[in-house]
Amino acid sequence: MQLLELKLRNWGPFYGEHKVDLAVDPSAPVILFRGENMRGKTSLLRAIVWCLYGQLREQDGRTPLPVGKMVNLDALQAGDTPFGVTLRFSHNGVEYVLHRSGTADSDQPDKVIVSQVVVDLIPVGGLPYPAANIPEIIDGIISRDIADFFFFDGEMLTRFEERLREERATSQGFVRAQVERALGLPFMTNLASDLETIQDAITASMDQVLRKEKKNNALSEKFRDKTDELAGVEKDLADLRARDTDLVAQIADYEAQLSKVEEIKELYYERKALEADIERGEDTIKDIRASIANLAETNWWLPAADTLVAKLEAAEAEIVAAEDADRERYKLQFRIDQVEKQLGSGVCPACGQPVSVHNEAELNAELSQLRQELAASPTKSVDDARRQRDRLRPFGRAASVLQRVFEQEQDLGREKLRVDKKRQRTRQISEQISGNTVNIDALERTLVHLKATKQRSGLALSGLEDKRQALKNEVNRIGNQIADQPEVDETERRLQRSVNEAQEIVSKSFDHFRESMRDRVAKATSDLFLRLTTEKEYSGVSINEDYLLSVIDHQGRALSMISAGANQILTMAFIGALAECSVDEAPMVMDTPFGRLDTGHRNAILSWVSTFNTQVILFVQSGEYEPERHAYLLDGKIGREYTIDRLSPTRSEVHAA
Amino acid sequence: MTPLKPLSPRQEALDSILQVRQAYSGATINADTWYKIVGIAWDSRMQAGDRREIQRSLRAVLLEAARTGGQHDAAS
Repeated sequence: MQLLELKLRNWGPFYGEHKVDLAVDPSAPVILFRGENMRGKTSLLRAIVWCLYGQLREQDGRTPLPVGKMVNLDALQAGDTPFGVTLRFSHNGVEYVLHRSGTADSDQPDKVIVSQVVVDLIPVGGLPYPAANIPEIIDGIISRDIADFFFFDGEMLTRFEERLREERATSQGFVRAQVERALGLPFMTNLASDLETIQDAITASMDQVLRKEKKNNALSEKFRDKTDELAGVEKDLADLRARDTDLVAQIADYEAQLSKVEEIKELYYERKALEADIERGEDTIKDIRASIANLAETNWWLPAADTLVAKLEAAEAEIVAAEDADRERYKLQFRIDQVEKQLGSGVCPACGQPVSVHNEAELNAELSQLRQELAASPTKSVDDARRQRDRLRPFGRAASVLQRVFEQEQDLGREKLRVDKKRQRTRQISEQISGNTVNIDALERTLVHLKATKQRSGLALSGLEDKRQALKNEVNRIGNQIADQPEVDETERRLQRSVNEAQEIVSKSFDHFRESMRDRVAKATSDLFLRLTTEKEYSGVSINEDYLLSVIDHQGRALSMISAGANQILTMAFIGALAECSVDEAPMVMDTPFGRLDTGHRNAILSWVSTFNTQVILFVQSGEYEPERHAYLLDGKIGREYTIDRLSPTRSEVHAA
Repeated sequence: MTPLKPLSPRQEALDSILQVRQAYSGATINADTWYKIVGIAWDSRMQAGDRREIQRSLRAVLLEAARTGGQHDAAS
């Protein structure tokens, strides 16, 4: 199978109609889609899967994903309600066009109702197949059961990887059934069943002949009794198998619900932690507000701080001026005292010389001048100025108080922002988990109960199968007796023996065939793992009967612990090996496969991809693949390259790179 | 997937059957018949519904083998 063209209408972020050419040549079979997260890479992968199978699953690989979630919301808002996917592909030299579409409607946000889903499959140049036959035809081209090996995303790889190591019986059954389907093993069980039907018909036909003779009545009755008994057991077996299948589905459903609950549990605990943080944040906000209020109360004058500070500065300036004036007055008074003393004693108090008449006149003039200056100098008391300053002094810390208030206001703003963000996240979580009324304990109890029932059902099935086999052997033995009767046609007799022989050989061959196919996939997995891993301590991979994988070291020991990266490589190797050994040939479509891988492993995978001669579609983001750094690893095998560009959160477009 | 493919799964199945047949005492179905049986079953392996047509084809091949009684066994 090769995909030739993909057409989308109002699908995912692709509003309107989009066409993507996918035809490639075996010499360059790699198609690259480059786009950042949320651009629509997974939507393209889902478009292919939905078009083929009409079903989608979430990334856990189990939970059904309603197709309504893939409808473009802009289109829906604009009243453009039809949506769909058309896939043109070739298989065994025949070209087909598969089209699946529906109509979307929405009566409330986030709830899209899909109706009128139709599917058409037309071989090019031929007539459309009846719709009822399409699933079987598609299943014959690439079975839904094994599609996970061909169409997978990085996240699904992780889930698959978990399943390959899970101890759960249902998971093992899932892996075993899928792998054996991929390897073509059901063909032999179908053949055995067909041979049994043929044999039953031959024996019944011979019995019809025999019954005509009365002497054969006893043998014929015995045959019919045993056949009836066998039919009864087979009916019981079919009922029990149906019940068992139902139990497996129920267990898978409960496990999926519990795995969802795990996510909800995490969200619930995150919300609880956030609520505690918000409470603490609110206390902090209260404290800061109280502190600001306290500052405002004790510093009631802050609104008049500018005036008060100006007055303080004025008082301080006044003190300086008053002190200067005091000093001046003191100097004048001191000089007056000196001059008066000189005039009174007629002797200079400094040198003791008599004051002359001429000097006396000068001294009197000076004294008069000094007295005038003293009378003119300001007499304001410095003490008044100091009292004024002391009264105003507390307002001098206005700047530091204002700084504190400013800082606390800032703290308050930051804390409010933090609390608001946490409230927003809390609201988001509440929306996510709203409507969740799951009772985890009840779920777990039911699961335990279902598993116990499944175990009992398995035992009953095994017992009934043994009984059926014993009855079948008995019927065959009687059938051989019937065949030995002379009334039976020789050719019929020989045919019955040939069918008997064929049945025995086929049933004995099954284990050999299964073993050789398992060996083949084990070898391919081991070879591919060694090719892809960058670790030198591994010598290969072993696969047990349930296809559970183990990595082997150089001493041949199975390693119980390997790194997450090695686990992913191991899973990738297993899927690659299955695709290689699979009886179906299909394109390999990988969405963001390198997410958790380091550069070495990523490069090894790209080099491996370059060895493909069948179509490979890679959806990658810039963190995984950069054309200038990684294109050479694909060794010229890129046949087409596209970028997925975002126009808005709800719209993207695919362009040739 | 890779250019070096070993036996096809169909051939592998036929080989398994022929190996068991070799050890089967008194085997009458020859290799050619097995080739035809495996071919019919393999080509119809995905047909899950009505298999009556397939069973008719298988019966015809086995009837032919029964008539010839294991003659013309070219491969065994």
